[in-house]
Amino acid sequence: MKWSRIPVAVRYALLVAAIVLIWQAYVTFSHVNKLLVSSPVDVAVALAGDLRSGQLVSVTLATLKNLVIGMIVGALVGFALASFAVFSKVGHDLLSVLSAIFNPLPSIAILPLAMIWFGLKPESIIFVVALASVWPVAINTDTGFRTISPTTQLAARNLGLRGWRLVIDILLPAALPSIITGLKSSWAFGWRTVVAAELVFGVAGSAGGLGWYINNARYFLQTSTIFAGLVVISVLGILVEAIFGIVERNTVVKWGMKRSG
Amino acid sequence: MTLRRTFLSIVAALAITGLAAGPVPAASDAPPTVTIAYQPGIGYATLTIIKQLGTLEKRFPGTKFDWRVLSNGDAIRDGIIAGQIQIGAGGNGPFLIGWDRGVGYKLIAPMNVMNLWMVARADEPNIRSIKDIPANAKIGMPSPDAVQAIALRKAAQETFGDAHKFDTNIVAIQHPLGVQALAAKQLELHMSSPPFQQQEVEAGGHVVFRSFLAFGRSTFNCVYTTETFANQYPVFVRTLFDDMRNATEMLKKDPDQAAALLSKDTDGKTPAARFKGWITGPDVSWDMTPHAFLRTAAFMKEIGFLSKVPANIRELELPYLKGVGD
Repeated sequence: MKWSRIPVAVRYALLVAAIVLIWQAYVTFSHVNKLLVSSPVDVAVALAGDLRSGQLVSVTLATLKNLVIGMIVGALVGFALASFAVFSKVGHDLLSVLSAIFNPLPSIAILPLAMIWFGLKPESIIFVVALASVWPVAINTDTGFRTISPTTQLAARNLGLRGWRLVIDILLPAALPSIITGLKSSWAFGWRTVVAAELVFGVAGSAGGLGWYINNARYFLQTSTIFAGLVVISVLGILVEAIFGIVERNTVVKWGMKRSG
Repeated sequence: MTLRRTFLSIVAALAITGLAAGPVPAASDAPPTVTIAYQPGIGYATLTIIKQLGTLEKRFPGTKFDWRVLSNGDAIRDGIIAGQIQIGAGGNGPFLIGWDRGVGYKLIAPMNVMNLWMVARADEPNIRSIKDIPANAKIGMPSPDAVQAIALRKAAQETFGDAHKFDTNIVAIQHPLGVQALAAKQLELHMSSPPFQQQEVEAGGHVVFRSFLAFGRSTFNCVYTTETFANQYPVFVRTLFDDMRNATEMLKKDPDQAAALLSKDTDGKTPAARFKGWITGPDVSWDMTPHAFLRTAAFMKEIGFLSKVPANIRELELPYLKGVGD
């Protein structure tokens, strides 16, 4: 049978099943140290146990809370910077300079500084997440604004729209494909940053987030729990990608601004 | 790609992983390389002295030595599991968890007995005992399974009937950074070890809790290695054990020389006089007999940190200690 003739969902499911089977077979037959690699069965047991006790739910919510607050702050600052850049030459130069300086800087590198500024509190994590998400949003939104056809802009100005009305009614919808791209990459940066920050940070307890959960399991040599945390991080990543897909289908794809798939 | 070819490649991948395990090398006297990992603080003075005297390097000239300072016992334990560290040193908490989970290491010998202080910040005068710790206070400790954390849980169980009362207050932080964080008011409390606890009290902090209250006089740090390494290089491990005994004797009987060596290890940044004060301090004793391992393990089992307890101290020891201690 040809692989490509099988429906896509079945193809993916088969591959996932094959990977899990190889993983289980490797752990069962290779006699690998259980402290180094857990079997899928052990991981499922750890996952189920911590879901039932509520610990995994509360650490996941803690991570998402830090991430969402950080991303909202980052996106708002990013929009503001991009809007300022559209309206004035100074704003444009400012965005160029700031993004040239900060964009190449992995924002997790700012964490030690954030810890001195904000202390061992969630504020430090939110700060680095915000810093990670500002630049993708700002740069992509700016590109989106700049690639709007002059006809659209002139028509809007002719209608007497200016200032914030121009941004909200014309520029934002017209630049939406770029803005969604920006938000997607800001999510990708933010998600990696929040987990990394929680790993470093080590504030214990339910407020510690998924990174803390993984690190804590390492302290207690619960390898299957480490894997369980990684599974949750990965599944959440897939879910958010899917949500972005739905948003795109109902806006920019529907409006004919971007092709589906 | 057809399904048949996919399955063939999976079978091939499995076959390759099966071949990865190599033959076991024969026993010999000197290992080609040894990484000895310990932690900051005078709790590791025994090893620092051996390092400064260079006795192991003289006895095993063909061996490449790497002395490494890591920030907590868990990192050292992880290094042993990964095969990058041969000789490790740390507190009894992470050691017991590793023993329980099957890391396959045992004690060469303990190094000392130390009373560890939980120090509250100078501007927190109302925190006089663990009963006064506010719900949102942050307590710095090297890790959530460190000796300090186990002792606090024992006290929490005795005082409040809840061993996990302070679990959400614990912040994992290495000792030197914890001293800074306490000074910068990022932590309300910090439980570390000598000399950090003394430095915090000198800076105006006050002692809220002492680890001896939990399990009595107990071993702080010990040196361990895997049974595999001990069986493969018995002469090397025996020599290390004898060197540890000599260093312990020096710390007890000739603190001046010991302090001079410790000062030399810091390139003279910390004067020998200060080291002498710390190593002869009232809450510090140099003792290679295991103390309170069994009591500590029983409590750790009770609160779910261990799945089993050693029936006797021999289960934790390599043959050098000959079953002494508890």
